[in-house]
Amino acid sequence: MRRKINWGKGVGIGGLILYGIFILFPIYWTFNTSFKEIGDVYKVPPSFVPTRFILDAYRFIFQGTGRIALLNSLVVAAISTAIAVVLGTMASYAYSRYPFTPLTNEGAQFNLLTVRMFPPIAFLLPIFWMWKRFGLLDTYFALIITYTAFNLPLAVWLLKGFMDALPRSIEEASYVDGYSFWQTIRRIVLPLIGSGLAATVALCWIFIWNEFIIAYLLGGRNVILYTAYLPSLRRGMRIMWNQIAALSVLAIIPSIIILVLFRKYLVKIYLRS
Amino acid sequence: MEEVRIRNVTKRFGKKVALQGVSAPIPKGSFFCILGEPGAGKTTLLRIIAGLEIPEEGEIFFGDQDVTLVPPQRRNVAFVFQDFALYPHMSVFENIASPLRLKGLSEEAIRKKVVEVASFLKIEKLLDRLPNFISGGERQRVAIARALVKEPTLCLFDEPLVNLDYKIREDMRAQFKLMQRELGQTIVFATPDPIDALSMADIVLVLHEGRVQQMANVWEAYKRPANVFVGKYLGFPEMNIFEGRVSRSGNSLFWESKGLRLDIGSFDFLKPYEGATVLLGLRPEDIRLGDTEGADFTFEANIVLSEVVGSDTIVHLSVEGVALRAFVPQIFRRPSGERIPIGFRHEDLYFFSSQTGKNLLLQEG
Repeated sequence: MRRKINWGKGVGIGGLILYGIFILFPIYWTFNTSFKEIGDVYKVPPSFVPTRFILDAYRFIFQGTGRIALLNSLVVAAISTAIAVVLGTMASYAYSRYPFTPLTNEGAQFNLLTVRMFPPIAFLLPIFWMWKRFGLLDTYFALIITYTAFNLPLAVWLLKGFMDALPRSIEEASYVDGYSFWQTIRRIVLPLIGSGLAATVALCWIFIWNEFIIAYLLGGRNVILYTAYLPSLRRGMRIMWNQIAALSVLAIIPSIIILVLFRKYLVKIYLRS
Repeated sequence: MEEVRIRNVTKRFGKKVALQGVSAPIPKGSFFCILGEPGAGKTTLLRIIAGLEIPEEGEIFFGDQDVTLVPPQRRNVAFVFQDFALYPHMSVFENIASPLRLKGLSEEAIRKKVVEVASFLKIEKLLDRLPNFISGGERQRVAIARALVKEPTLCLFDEPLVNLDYKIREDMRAQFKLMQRELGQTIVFATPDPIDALSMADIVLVLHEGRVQQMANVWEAYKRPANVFVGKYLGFPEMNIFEGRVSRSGNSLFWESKGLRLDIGSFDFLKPYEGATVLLGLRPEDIRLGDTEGADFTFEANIVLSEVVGSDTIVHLSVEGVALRAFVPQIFRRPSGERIPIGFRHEDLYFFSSQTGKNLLLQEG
């Protein structure tokens, strides 16, 4: 008896394996490089498996500006994401439930979205001059507010979809049951848009975490984010690939945590839009 | 003294008038039915009673207290929404317990009450389930349980039967009525379906385009509809309406249209309408087919179509080219074109003004 071979499935699995290698290899290579001495980085042929775990690169990152840059990024991303999600929740509720006031009608909603339609760099020069005029360049405040401005439309737009999907009668049932507006928000609305909140947190975070130009232009000396710090890892003409790799490995960690925690909500939101 | 009174309530949404000068007393312990087409203002009226909307004009009284501006949280009403509005993230138990959570009861007392109401509605086995994993009929019972557990002054139902399939709907009508009788709960029930009103209600309020057409005991409204609209709407199938002239011939008055001529000499209230055009109403269920004994008027009719509806039949007839429908409470299948005698009595006739639509019998007194 001949075994039946399912060619379609075989090709599919083969394709997925190739794709996996294509995606994962650079990450592995970064990981590999981070444990090398700078001399070994340029060796030909390169070593594909780390033979010794040399922690010099990590040590350098942890002792120097790298640690501060990572912490700065964490602080800015966390605060800005929190503001964007809190304001976004309130704004999206108003947009969804009271779309007739001058502040929440279709025109106002569209205005907010247009902020997101242009690449950030289109606005950056005026924003730069504005912060300079205020004397706030290179402060947490300027970075957090600027990131929030770019993230808020995203948060509102994502959350409004979830708010719209929430029948009004459920809130009204809660009022009739005797609960106040804020009790109803806490008991009914927030739990029911939970997956939307999780996905919004993840997307806002990722935008800030991966962002370079704003970090580079508005910060850089007093408040340096890791993305702005990364290009400075040079010694004269030599690029310190092992240090860059170490910083990158550290920088991947928060994103991986968020993606793993919120994966199923992100899939939901992509399927929805 | 827990009667609820609606006084002269008017509500507009932008330019659209949803309710216009609606007044009604709702007696304690009654099954009060708001009947009207979609868009007639039924839901708006319920929402105003619940406190979810504030009327532009008029007041709502609960007993002696004017509650027009009192928010729903402080009205002690329960509302069963058309979509049931269960909290999807809470178990059936928590859904039902929701109104009790604010009353400062012990966990034990809450559990006791919830289980009591749940077993009354035969959903005690579902208490641990989530609302999305139970059937439509069960979901409705959960919504009703959540309303009853509150022991409200007034229980408001917004078209709760519309979302259910035909079989459950039939079953629910009887259960509703029995439940209401057993608990003595005042119920206000909005529905577009005249059968709901006829099968359950004590009092019916017929709304049309935001205005009260009639408010009366349901059989009073059936027997003495205030106008053509109520006559046609409160009844199934719809009342037959014919337009004709009142004329005098010899000693008697006649109502005449093409094909039909009726001696209406015994209707004294029609005397002033001599020479005028008057609408004649005749309920399909009042027409006798075949056996016309005891009928005051008899005609020969052609059967156009026998439409069997469940175990009843709607017979489409034609008398001298005039179309009318008759209702037979059994299966009655006859070939099209067959001739059949039909008859009806004096008291089966309704007369309405052709201008205002008002019932001329009530007009007089």
